[in-house]
Amino acid sequence: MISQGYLQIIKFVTLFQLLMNVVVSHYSRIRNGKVVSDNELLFNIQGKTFDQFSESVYRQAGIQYPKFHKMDHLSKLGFLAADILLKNNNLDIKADPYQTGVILSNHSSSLDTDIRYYNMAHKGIASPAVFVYSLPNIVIGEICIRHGIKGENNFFISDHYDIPSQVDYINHLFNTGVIESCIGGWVELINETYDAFLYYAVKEIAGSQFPQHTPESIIKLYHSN
Amino acid sequence: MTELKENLKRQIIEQLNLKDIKPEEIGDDQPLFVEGLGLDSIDALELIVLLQQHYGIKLAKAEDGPMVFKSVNTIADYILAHKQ
Amino acid sequence: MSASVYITGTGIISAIGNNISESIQSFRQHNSGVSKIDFLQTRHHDVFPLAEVKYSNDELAALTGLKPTLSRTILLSFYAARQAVETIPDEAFKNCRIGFISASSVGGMDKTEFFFEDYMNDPQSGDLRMVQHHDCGKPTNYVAQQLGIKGFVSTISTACSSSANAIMLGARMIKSNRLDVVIAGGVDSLTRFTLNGFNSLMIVDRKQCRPLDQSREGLNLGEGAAYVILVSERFLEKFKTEPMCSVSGYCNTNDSHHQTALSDNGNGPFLAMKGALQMAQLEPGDISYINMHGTGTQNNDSAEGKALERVFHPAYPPLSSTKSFTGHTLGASGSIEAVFSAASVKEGLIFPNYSFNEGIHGLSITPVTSLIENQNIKHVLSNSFGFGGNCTSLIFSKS
Repeated sequence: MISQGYLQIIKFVTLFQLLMNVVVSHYSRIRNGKVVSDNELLFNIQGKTFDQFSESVYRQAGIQYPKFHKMDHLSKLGFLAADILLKNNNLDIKADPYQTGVILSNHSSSLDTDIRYYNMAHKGIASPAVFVYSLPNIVIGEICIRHGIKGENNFFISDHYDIPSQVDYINHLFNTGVIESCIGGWVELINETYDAFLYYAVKEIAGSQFPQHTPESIIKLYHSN
Repeated sequence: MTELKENLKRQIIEQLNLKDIKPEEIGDDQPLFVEGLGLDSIDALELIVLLQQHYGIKLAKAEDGPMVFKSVNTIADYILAHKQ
Repeated sequence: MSASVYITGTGIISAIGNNISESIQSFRQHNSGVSKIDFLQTRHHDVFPLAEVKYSNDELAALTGLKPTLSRTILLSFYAARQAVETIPDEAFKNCRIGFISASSVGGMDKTEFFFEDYMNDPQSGDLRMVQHHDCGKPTNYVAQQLGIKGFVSTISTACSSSANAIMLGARMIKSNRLDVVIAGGVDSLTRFTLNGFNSLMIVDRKQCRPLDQSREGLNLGEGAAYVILVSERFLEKFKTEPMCSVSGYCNTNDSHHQTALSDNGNGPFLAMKGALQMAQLEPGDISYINMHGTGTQNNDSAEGKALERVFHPAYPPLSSTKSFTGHTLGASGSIEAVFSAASVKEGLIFPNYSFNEGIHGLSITPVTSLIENQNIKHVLSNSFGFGGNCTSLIFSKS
């Protein structure tokens, strides 16, 4: 069932394409043991728990960031997806960190960590290190700290990945001059089920063949991996 | 005392998820915060939980933390002085 | 950019009142909502004061007409949202494109944590109906349905800046002509999870909190809900409505320093305030009153104070933290303070700190300590900073 709101948004996205060209230059995807970046399968690690899988990706990608091991699963997932997206593609945020936004969403919020925290608290151990991750936007905080990103950031909770709404919101930020680049996507994790999809949207680069930042192209990217 | 310190080092590594560090790499007198292991304020709170969980000692004031958790030596001293 | 988003109505419920009039009266009589725990069942009952809404779930259910078995988050959200919606003219409600943007950090967890206890003891026990509204998005959807809103519905969850971000998003949707009316705000109810968690961070005061005071020892947790009705200039003309104020500026940044602590210099807050001022085309001297985030923790008040110094020193406008009265209502705090800010502009009020003895060393910030009335309030700045470095500043202006 398509809501009125959804239809309104599709209508207005077309309008905004005319005002400014925003393109999607890179993406990363992590799910089912596979790490993909720009159509290239970087790692395929099967038969592991998320703990083991994330540790393997961390090591095989040559990341050196000791604080990684303190993060909760959702933050590890988002952190890895962002590292693959940015470092793998030599994307440099430092030019103007206040002009880079991070707009993410998921279904389960921080429920995976909420449960872990509660299991411990139930036994009389309220762990501060676990509690600090009982909010979905901490993953944005970790990504921002790692890459020095300081621009607008927001986290939405929805039943499914509402691509038209997210694309629309990000395009609006570009069109009103709030940002010049943006990490958008979906970072979802609960128990051993995980799905991270991040993409990098930026003002059109002359002479490039990158797809336009539209719901259609994001839907295509998301479903192609 | 040596056994206590060795246990402490393993517990600190486990409680604070310091996966890249081995117990023998932590000096008894090595500063744990700022330089040294580079621990932060949340780690300090976790050490308070560690004291309670493993040694039954409750550190009531967070302000005492920097003094008590300065190094493995100071933690061990505190435990011996306060263990019930 | 000219102001083209207006607030025409509000709805609010917190520890200091069930609507804006009662809230103002609490400020006038200097009655803090922080008190001994009444409703939350916790082993910390005699240890921490809380700022609870002074109704049980049964009483809230009777007031709202909803089932008492629902999550307290839903009951509070519906109470405040309905109050706001009642200010929308009937004709507008029927014919306009209306959206509902709500924010929460807790969702339906107040019920889930009780289910969990039964479930942990015996996986076959526990009433599953208790967990059906756990997700942050579920209370939003449920309340939207109850209000009859069929258009755009969205949930934001960015910790303590959540409902400020909801208002920011709502304002954008009005400005870009996607919607004619947005009911924007947020809600959070008190849970053991929250109290135990904040206690593990050792930032909860065992007494009435003292924001901006050198002796401050942490925050008092609170609960509540608040929503504003955002409309366009076209709406004002069509339905001949007088606005309370306009939303003239907003900005969101990431402090990019630590998961829960702000940078010493308050970089994220500094840039959020500067960004909002720039958008509203205002100078610091144009601000009539600042409603600070002011939680009462060592870190926030120092960092926010430092950021304020960088923007306003040496000419500080009157300022305060109303969290000293309402407690820190987490996801609801941005919108509760937005409602206070709108009232400040409309009624000419400057809200006070509950108490103040000695300013933070190294800063020259002195809050107002009793309600000041009959002021000419032109612009109010409201700050909301959440864990994860999420910093939002909003500006409300006389229109």
